[in-house]
Amino acid sequence: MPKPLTFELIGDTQLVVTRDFDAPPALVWRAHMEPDLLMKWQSGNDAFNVVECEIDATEGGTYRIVHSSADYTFTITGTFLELEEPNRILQEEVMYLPDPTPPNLVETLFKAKGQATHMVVTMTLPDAQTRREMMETGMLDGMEISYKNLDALELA
Amino acid sequence: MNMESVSAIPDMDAAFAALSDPTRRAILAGLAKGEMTVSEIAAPFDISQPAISHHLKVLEQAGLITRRIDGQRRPCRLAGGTLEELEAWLDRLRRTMTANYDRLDAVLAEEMAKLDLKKD
Repeated sequence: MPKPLTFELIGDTQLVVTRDFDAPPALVWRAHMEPDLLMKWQSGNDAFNVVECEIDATEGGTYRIVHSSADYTFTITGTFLELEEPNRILQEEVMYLPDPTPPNLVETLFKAKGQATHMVVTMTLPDAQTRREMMETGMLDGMEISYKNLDALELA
Repeated sequence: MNMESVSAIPDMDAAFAALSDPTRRAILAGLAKGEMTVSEIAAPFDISQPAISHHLKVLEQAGLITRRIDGQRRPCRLAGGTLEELEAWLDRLRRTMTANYDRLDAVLAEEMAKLDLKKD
């Protein structure tokens, strides 16, 4: 049974997302920082898959993740501004749709909760133009299709 | 250009700012039932009519409500499509993240199993 996700708008530009995981922060951290692990959970299926992933998990280090579907490719790049392994990531992210979006600041906290992890992600919402571009590329639609396919897998 | 005929929100940032205030959200909830005059809108609130007028101005500039002239009165109504577009965008993002993190559960379970094997 999947755990609930909370999704809350704070003020006019911030979004706070929380989620618990049945694994200690050290492992959740690895799943965010090791390309082979990240590719598994950020890839859906034939709609959008991560086809390239490079992560330099150091302060000032950069990352580059390429998502691709049959007819569309977009790239997410960023820089790690602050890293406190295994509890906190502060990163600045830019998407190429294919034009670069304004940078968004994302803070991710992994708090130990017994043997589990409580994650809190605080992000700055992309501006109106970027949001519209995301809708128009269908990239969110593609990911939604992955979700439906995942449900189908669980039923099988 | 007639803003009412445009489906895209003219300025989403202004819309988010307008929605960040609880009084303005309550006003929008009231207007969901239909068109209201300023005094009808102000009735349930314990704040001055100029304060209500200010909130209405913010909502109007954000493209969330529209007003028409009816003699001396300027009744307000919800702008068509605006809230729906904002909600649709957030709803899609929420579904995307839900899907990602549900898959992450499986990745973590797999890695936990590997760690358990190493211990044995």
